[in-house]
Amino acid sequence: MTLSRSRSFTTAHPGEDWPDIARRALPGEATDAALEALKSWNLHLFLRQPGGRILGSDVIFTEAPLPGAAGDG
Amino acid sequence: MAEATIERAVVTPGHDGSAELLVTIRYGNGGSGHVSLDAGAAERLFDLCGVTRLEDLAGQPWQHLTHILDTPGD
Amino acid sequence: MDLIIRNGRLVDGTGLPGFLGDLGVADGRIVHVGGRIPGRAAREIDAAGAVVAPGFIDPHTHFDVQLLWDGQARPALEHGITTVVPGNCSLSLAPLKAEHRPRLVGMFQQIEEMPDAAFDGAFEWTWESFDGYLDALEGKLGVNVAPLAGHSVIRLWVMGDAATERAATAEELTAMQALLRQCLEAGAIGLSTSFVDVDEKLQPVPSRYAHFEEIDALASVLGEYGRMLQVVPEFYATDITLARVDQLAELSLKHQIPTTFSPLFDSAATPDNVNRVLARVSEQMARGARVWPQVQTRPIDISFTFEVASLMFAFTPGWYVTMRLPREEKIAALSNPERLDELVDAAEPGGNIERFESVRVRAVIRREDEALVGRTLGDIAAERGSTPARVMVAIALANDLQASFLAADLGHNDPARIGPLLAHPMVHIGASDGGAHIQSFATYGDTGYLFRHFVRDRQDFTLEGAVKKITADTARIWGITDRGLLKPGMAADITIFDPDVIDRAEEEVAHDMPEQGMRYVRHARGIEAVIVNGELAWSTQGGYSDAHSGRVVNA
Repeated sequence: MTLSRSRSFTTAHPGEDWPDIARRALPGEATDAALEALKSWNLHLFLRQPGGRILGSDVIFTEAPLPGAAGDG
Repeated sequence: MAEATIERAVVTPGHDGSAELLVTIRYGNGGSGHVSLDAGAAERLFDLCGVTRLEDLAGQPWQHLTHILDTPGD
Repeated sequence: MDLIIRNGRLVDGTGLPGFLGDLGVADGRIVHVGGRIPGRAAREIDAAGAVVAPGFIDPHTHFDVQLLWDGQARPALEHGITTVVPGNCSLSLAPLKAEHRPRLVGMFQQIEEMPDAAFDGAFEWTWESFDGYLDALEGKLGVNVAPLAGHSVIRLWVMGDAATERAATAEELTAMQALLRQCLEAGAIGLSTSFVDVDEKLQPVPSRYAHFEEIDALASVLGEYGRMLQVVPEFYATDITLARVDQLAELSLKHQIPTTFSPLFDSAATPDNVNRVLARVSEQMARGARVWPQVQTRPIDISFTFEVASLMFAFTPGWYVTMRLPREEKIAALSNPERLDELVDAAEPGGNIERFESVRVRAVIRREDEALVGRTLGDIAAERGSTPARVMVAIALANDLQASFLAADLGHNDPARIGPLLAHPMVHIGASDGGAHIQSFATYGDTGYLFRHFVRDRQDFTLEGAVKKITADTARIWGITDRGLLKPGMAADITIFDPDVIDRAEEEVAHDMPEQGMRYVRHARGIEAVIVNGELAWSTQGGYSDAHSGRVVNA
């Protein structure tokens, strides 16, 4: 059975930081723009102390919430 | 993503029995997402946005949310 | 025969219509269901007019510590709960090296709000291993216990301080797998992990530092035994919960294990949350994955005081601004008649007292105000010829801002949505958090709430359907094969109750923790008797018995 489309996410590989994830998840994007985009899509990781620290288990979104998903991202 | 903005904020009950602020962010692609703030973080968001009323949080840029941790609490 | 329950309405957990008949028990097992049983037994119970059901199973609790001095998990047992699952949210009391005890105590105090005395003298730490913990419970249990092993403590055991610093090495992963295997061999019903919980310093618990490869490695061990993986997802955000559903489904399919996540809440602020999560769960279930969302029956209440600027006051701007003032300025403002008039006008525009009318006084510090506890502000205002907002301020000022108030049923609170949600075939009723948050609210009586509101009042369930959800379904989801049904050969865990009365009582303060520690509890209504492994554990007439017939149960 095929799953319906859902919002893309990844998890960090051991040792990865935000620039690493930006390069892996958003290849071809300018680094600053990619980092800014990742930040806006992953506010849940920037609202805890210390802001932006990545834990191994974190869900990291690699795109904005899908339009039409009823505003429940 | 500069066009992402706070769309609204509502008070909701948290799992631990305290009131929390659920903030909805509308993105440039039309999608929307939520973040949940505790009382202290909500106070700092009000201050960062320079408002005192819930409804005045609407339209504020999303970047304010990322500065909450940089702002000392009361 | 040791026990015969006569003339009851036997609701056997299958969901089929109940029927009148007798039930016989011998050697802790059900030996006879239905019909009239001839002869006499050592103990007989006349259940005429009552329902005789399998004992209820609570799949999400934190009774780990309490069980060491209270093996009956009071007051859960008197609500008809005969089996509890502790060790949720990545935290269990074993396996745990002696050197790590202070760290675990901090984590437990954060989630359970257990007083220091609970860990200092209320029991003796005699164990490090999982089977050692189970040995410590031996002979104390009045309820059955199906314990989870916590990922955070497994990580702590193997990695020490590095458990909250980095990814595990290959050697450490192997060591964690071996340790989990020991726990499962000793009797753990599965593994719990958390993506949300924090310790007493508000730092992430160790399980949150684990990369997916680590959870996958541990799930592979669960697969060797077919046992449960329980997780706490980021329940406040739908998209993250959906991602967790997909991760759990991947693990379930790969390792052929059941998984469950808790909690899943409904909220007016995010009305599509539940529908989107259940749609994803349905898709994954259709692939053969087992991903069970746990939903609690009770609504969520909010507590607040005037000491801090609760967001409860954000509804009315004048109040929020006032509450954010420094303490002395706040007291001065609230004591100023003109300022108070402005605040009252803002909260009760045009004399509409709806906003604070149903708020209850929860706690006070002045002895002369103790009679106010439990009463609504509307009731007190009527008595005083005042308004709810005014009496709330008056009570707060009289109690040095330390009076506590409760706004009930503010979330997960729409019966027309919660009833069908609970009845959904892919929803696992649970998430009670029994034994946790003990100084914030009572986590007992969710089963009574289910029968009162969703069987009697709204009829979202038949009586039989509700019983099945919290007995046979729970046992099946968790792989407990000998409980959850009234059937010959099954363990004799039995709850007898009045279907017209069963409910939870009002929340009240109790001082029954070690050193008279305080907690909130709710007692039961309508439960007549609770039998655990064939022994009478609680009854209306006799209260808690001396029977310690509970056991460690697993899949």
